[in-house]
Amino acid sequence: MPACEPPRFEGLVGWRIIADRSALDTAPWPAGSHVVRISPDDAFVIGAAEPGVPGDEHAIVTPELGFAGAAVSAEQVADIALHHIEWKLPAGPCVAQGQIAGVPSKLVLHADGSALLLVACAARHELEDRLG
Amino acid sequence: MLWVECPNCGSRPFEEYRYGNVFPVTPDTITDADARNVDYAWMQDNIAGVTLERWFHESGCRRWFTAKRDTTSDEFLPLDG
Repeated sequence: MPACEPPRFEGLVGWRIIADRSALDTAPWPAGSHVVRISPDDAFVIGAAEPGVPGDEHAIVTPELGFAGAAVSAEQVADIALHHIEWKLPAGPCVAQGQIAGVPSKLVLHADGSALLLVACAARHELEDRLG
Repeated sequence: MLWVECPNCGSRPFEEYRYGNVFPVTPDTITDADARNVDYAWMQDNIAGVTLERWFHESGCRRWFTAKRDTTSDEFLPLDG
């Protein structure tokens, strides 16, 4: 039996942006959006409003519906880290990426220890099963 | 277990990566353009020692990066070292 409730995922609506890293650093993100920096030149912006990247005229901005997310509490994060993560989980706030229970995932860690757990939609049920 | 340092994500088990082979180095003694292409594409040096390699962090940031590895010890070395 799991130590705490396994996360339940829902599909996320957002935008994927590939752009110059300095342009992403200074981009004015729409109010209410949540930015997940996947790599220096790659961002996933969660939210319905289309973001702009004025610092890079060649930026690629495209709708991204390929991620599912689940809000997880600090207790759930600790449980996941203990049982399902081989690598050292950094202290938040930050984005930690790698395999969780063998499934490529991302943890958007907040300062209070809670997190948003992201996974590709195609793998969400697999991750749910493995964490459950 | 072999751990690989991703410049974006940090240290992760090697299962998270795709190995992208060593940087091919074509000897200057090969001057013919076609022969250089063949050497670049097909001739593996299989170096025992320090090599520059390409790695792809498939389960994380999904970015290619260059790493320096000693193939005799599997130790990853600083790129500027």
